[in-house]
Amino acid sequence: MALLRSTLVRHLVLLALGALALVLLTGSLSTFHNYELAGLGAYVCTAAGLTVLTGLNGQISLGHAALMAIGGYTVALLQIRFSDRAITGLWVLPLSLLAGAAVTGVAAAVVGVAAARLRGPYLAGVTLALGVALPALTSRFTSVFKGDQGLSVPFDPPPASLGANFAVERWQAWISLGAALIVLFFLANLNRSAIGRHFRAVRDDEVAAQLSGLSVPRVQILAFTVSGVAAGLGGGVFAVSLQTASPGSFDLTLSLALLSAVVIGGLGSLAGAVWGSIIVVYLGIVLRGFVDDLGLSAASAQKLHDNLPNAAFGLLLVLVMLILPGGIQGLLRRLAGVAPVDRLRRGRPEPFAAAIAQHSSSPPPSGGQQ
Amino acid sequence: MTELLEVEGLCAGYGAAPVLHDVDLRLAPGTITAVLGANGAGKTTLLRTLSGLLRPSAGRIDLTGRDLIGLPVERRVMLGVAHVPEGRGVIGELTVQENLRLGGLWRKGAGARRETDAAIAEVYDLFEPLARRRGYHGHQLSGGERQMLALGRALVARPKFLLLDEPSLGLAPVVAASIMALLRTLRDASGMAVLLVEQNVHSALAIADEGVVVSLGRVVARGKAADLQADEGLRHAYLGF
Repeated sequence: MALLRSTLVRHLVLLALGALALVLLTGSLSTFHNYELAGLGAYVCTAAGLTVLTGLNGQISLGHAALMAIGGYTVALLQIRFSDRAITGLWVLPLSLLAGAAVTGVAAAVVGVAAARLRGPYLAGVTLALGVALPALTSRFTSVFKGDQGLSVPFDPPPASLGANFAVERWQAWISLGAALIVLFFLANLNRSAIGRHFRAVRDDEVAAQLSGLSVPRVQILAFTVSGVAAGLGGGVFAVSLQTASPGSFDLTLSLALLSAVVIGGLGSLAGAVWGSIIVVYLGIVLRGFVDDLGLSAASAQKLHDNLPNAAFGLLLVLVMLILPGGIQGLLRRLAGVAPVDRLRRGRPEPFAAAIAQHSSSPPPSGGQQ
Repeated sequence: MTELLEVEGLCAGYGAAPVLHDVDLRLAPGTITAVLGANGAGKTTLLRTLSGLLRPSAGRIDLTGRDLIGLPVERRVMLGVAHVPEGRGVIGELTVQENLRLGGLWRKGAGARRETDAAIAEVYDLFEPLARRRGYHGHQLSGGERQMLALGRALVARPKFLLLDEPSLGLAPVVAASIMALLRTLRDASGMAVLLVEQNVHSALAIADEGVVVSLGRVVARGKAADLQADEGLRHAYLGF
């Protein structure tokens, strides 16, 4: 039990359990549901990064889909190169995904430099512009990005060791959810580290953080970079799950859906990012099914497909803000009767016994008024 | 005595509105200097300029011979400047222990953690209520405890120069008196220079060695705390008693 008190060990155990659940779950689902899970993994990766940026560091982003696009296109370009040169192997796709995450991290750091100078609506405006403008760049450089059609994302089939009947969709779900587990593991440890405390300090009180010796812009740029790496990985696995990287896959709707996911799940909570992603992904699927069942004309059905999920996310967002300001995770904590503060308080050691001789002559102040 | 802090011709303000005009200040180590004056006199602006939160338009700030002008806040913290702002600046979502640990952020390299742990242990000995609530979040503390925490975080940095803005604001008299008394103990034990902004003139002058009176952004009087308190004309004109 003493070993489990170590944050790293506890998170490693959770990572192993998550991986086991992933293997069991994907084995029991149809190929179609595995395909949906692959999409969910991409949402979880990005929403987890976004909740760190917005919930823990207080910087809003309305353009995270653009960061996903950078990751997605980087992976697509690399995978095409590898495929053209007939380079194969189990390491190829992870290398592309890592490169996608790294390139997005660099791009996010550049955005972070600008973001560190901006606050509130100005920051929202800049990230919104990024979300609109960046996917549009693909139409400007069609020779590289193939315009609206986008790039295909070739990748090796599942390893032969998994069996001849191992479905590609299940393999995609493994890749995507595996990436999500790694992102959650990394961010959970980061949140509990000094860096996580710095993120929260800057969010809560920039002046106090500065006076403690923190460089506020540096912390904010770091938060953007970390969030960008997660979004880049999310974009990479999204492209792999769709087997394409196109501007339509990374549009503004996706950015807003991601923001909805982190608020609905509970801003600042990694578990909340998972709940929110599940809601957003599966609500979208349910609504699409609902529209298909209405028997509308193709044009009308397409319009509803495009707009109904956004309207539903918006409505859900308003409801959550009114009824559950802490999101789903906040509700679960309330139901469990465990406030995060109570968990922190448990097991804390009693005050130090030793007194500092030179200060002990001073009468200690009593507590103030409550 | 060699001065710890020397300020000459300091001018600062907010945008086009100048607040401080040609302020000179000298602080010796191991002294408490009270900054007195009416609301809007520029006391808080002076502290913000010295700690680096506000960029001066002119003047010189030397801390032990090192020019602070142009240095960001975090560099000044590393050089030994600690500022406890008005409103206290406690991070509500961090625990008492985590807030205190922030005070040791400037330390780098081997032994930094050990040194910060030792400084935190000292703070817990000074402020026993904080030791009992080390796992509580900042927003769960009372006003007095928050003031202790803000002061404690500054002390974890083991500063040479402590700037305190209204430490008794909103506190019960007994808590305010305890904190004021503690400042004297800290001054004697650590040898740091304290610049104290305090609305309660009596209690500020009671613990201070020196005092400066600020009016409309200018230093209009300075001297021994006892002399300022005894100067009836000054008290009537600037201190309101």
